[in-house]
Amino acid sequence: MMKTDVTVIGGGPAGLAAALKAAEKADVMLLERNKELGGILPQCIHDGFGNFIFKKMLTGPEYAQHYIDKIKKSNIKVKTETTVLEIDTNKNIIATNSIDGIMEIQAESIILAMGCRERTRSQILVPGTRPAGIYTAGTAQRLINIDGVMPGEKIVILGSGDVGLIMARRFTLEGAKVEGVYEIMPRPSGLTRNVVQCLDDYGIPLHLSHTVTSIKGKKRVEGVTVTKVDESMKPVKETEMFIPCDCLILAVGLIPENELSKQINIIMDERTKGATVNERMETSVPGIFACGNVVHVYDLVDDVTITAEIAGKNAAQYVKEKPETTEEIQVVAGDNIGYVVPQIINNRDLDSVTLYFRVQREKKDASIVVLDGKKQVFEKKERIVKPPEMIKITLSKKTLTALTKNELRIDVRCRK
Amino acid sequence: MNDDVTCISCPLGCRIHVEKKGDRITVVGHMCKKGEEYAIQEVKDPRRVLTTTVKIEGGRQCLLPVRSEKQIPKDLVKKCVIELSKIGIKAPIKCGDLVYKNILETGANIIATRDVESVEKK
Amino acid sequence: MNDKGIRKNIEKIILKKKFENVAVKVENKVVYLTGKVNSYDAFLDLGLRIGKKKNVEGVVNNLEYPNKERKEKKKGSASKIGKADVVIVGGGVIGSSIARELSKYKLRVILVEKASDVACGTTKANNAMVHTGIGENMGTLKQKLCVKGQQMFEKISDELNVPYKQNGMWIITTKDSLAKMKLPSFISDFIAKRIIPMIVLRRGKKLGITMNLTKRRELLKREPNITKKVLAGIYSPTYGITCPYLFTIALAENAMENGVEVMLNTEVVDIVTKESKVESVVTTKGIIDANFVINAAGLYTDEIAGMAGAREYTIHPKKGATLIFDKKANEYINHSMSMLRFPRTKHYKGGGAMTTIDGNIQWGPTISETPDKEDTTVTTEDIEKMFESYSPLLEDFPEKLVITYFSGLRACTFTEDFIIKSSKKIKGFVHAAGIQSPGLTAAPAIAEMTISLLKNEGLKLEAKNNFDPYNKKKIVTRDLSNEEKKKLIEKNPQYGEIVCRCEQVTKGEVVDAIHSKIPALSIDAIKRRTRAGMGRCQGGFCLPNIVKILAQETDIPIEKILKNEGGSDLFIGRAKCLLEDKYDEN
Repeated sequence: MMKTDVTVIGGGPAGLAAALKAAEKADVMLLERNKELGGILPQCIHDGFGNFIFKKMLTGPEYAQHYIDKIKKSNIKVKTETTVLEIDTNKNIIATNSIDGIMEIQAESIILAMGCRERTRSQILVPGTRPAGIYTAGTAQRLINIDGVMPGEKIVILGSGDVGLIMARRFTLEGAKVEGVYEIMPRPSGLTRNVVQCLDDYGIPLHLSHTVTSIKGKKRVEGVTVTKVDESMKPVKETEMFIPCDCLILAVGLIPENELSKQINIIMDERTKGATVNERMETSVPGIFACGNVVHVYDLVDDVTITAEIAGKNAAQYVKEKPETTEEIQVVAGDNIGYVVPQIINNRDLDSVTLYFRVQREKKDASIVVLDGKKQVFEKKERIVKPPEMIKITLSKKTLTALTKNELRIDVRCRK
Repeated sequence: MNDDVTCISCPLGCRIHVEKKGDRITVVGHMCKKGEEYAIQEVKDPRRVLTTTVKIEGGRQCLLPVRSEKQIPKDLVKKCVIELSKIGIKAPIKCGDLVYKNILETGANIIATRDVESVEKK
Repeated sequence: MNDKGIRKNIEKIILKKKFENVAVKVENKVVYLTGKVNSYDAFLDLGLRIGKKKNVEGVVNNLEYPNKERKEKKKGSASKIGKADVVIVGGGVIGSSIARELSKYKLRVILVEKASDVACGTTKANNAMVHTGIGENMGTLKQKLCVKGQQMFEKISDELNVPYKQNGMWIITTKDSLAKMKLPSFISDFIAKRIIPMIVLRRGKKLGITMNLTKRRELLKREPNITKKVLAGIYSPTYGITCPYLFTIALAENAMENGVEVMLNTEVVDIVTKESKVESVVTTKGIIDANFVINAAGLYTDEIAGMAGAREYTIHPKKGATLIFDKKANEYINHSMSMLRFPRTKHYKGGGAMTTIDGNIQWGPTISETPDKEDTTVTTEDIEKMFESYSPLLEDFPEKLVITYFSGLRACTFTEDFIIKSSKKIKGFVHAAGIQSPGLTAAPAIAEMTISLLKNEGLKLEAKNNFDPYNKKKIVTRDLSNEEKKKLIEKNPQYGEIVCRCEQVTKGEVVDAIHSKIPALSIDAIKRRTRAGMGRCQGGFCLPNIVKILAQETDIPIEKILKNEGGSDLFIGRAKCLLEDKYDEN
């Protein structure tokens, strides 16, 4: 039986930042299932990371390297190629690797930082055969950038999530031909920057309101049928078109990976598919924290780092002193809001609380308002709000201390 | 010369129309100063940071991720990637190490973006 | 009835149904059709009508229809492999069962399989139910062998150390069971609630199958998520589940352990006969001299029989699609359930919400005809059909939790029963054909029957005294306790390293699969043996890991790794391979 104050599960950007922060005040053990630390960052070789924290555009590996170097200098116990099999509410962890075998770890506090996984073909029910040459965008990214193999040379990309857009460029630069990106929604799901720099720069067409309705090929992909969809997202049969290709890349979304969280019946948010957390990034099970994409899928790694540090700090604090929960303010996703994180504020006596959320529909000249009961306590104007772009607002100490009700509601309204 | 540019300065993503007649550049469709500057730059001299991988010999990884230290002309990105596909580099490598000097006379150096240990060193 | 009488009857059908360019020949109660029809549907229609006729033992349907695919004849290799006593064509569950059965005797037996692994055809996409036989028509060979096979299944599974569970099944009727008949509801409900269960129970009694009628209230208690429209339930406790490929692999490996030679990637291209007797089998790897051939080639049994001049049936593939759900939905039902519907339609022949041996819920299989023996597409219609057919079984089932879907092809003949018999034309040639559901269940009984046919054909059977029926248990770490895992990892650290996180498969298990008796040399072959890649991420995480292990453990370069068969390369080359062509452009 090993003992630590804080055990962090997952060594991606969230786990790294949380572990480092917690290590300032506590003994920390970091468990990572891969060979190396950094999670998905080492395969994200493109730039665009760290603008917020480092005030410069770093690549994924550089961003990871910064934290990995710090971890190396710290006294955090790192175990790579280690998979957690079980956790319980008493913070007992069972993990396995080839060196220690089956490990039992008793922690005072656990930080869940398992990240997310990609949605697959089955989850969107693409019909057809099951040949070689169908990959999710993240897997293709790993294969090309880390493992050094090319999944195909004539590529169709289904879904315009950011990883898909980035892979369109990456495939092109590696000499493959990207026939097009097909998105079922009437708008791209990735960031505008990626649409411009990954598709427009290389003349790769983006077909909105289109989806893949069949995959052809017995051994390897021989082509796909793409079809336009109507307003209710139903394919319009007459618009079917066959596109010969040898590879289909799926960029149809990410889902927080919460298999472990579910073992201990943590309260989940159906909308984020992650755990419900409070302002300290603590889940419904006291002493179990969560951060990064396991809570909800972020746009920017910088925000992952920032919230992970909150989790790390509070997990270490929890080891010293279990805080008493005196109140519970529910943060409610109101008009035109898909979800809000954190979902709960337990303590108003803070310098500030940052709320992260996504809108459901694009709106120009929007006004983000926060309501304490019927009273408006915060307003922020935005020229435009879009579902792919996460919005964050920070409530100040003054606003927080003035709250009177146990429900805080966020609405996005139209100013005109 | 005419050009349409999608601005990436903010989520608004304005479609900005740029017209170039001799030295005179007119910009239409932007909502802010940033947008105007971005559009003019995109038309006059579009630049990008180059990121790709380079083959490694004797490393614990088979590929090294690299980037250009500064932005290079957009049109040269593909050529530079092809140029970099020809070379191989020996491990060990430290993040920030110089991989290729002044690639295709752009004035930009290519640097490693991570550490890679050599195979022997465990 | 003699051949002449059969022919008369059939000519009547042809005349009545206005088939103009069709000629009939009847020989030994086998009907041979030649000529032309204007569609595949017409080809099927006539074949099935004739197949249903009494006394018809086989239909060889050589009718031409538009867009009929022509196959190019493959070339064999002239090299000599040697003399075998028996050659088995096909490494599915039937061929492998027969191989194991034959390995009990002092014989040289060679099993040839064109794929790179056993269980790669119809067997692979089976829905794994070990049926009781209640669903088959009385008096058919299918029913007889199914009932017998089921009784043998547990013992064989134990010997081979493969999972088998008698998990039971509900046969239910609901308010929708007779919806198509458009009867007043009090009548249809009465029939569904009282009459149908009575018929089923009576049939069960006749066959010696234990079945218990369960009242609606009790049923709802035992299966709280079952549809509220349910009227009656019959519980069939002996219904079993296996894993079709693990079972088949184990059969083949046990046969090998007992001396059978298994030749993979070996396709039969010709069967040489002399004076109506089997002489040799020509394959893509060489010629095997043998006087006895067992045709267990599944979808291709008609073609193999044709090579020997023993074509006595034609296969018309029927596709079956299945949906598999995430483990998260496992708790939703306690037992498999199938809803009875009348009349049975072309596309609905039972199936239901079944549990797999690993606990996942599966829906299916559907049924539809296809002219293509390799058409394993799952179409939009198949998916819609599955939701339409099986969704009404359960209340609020989390349908979004689909993790995968696939389809397979059943090797049906027009007489729609198993054809297990010696050729009437060619001595030494034994058919194990027309194997559709419940072929998996019946496999052990089919094997026994085939051996007795061989004996009748003149094969000398002398029992070995060193036949070993047992397979060693393969290590499956997720089934072990933490204490057992600890001990195991101490001995071999590879069992500590998880490579597939969804199914918790360790590197050790993958390495075992690669180096097993029938080596798993493709991603799918490893998947079938270890479950790596079968979980909710469908290989997104483990694929790169498995690829690397496979390359390390064999001499296959990483970029040449296959998904399954030759040509299914996962990659087109190393990174940068496409840029080399562009050097000149610079």
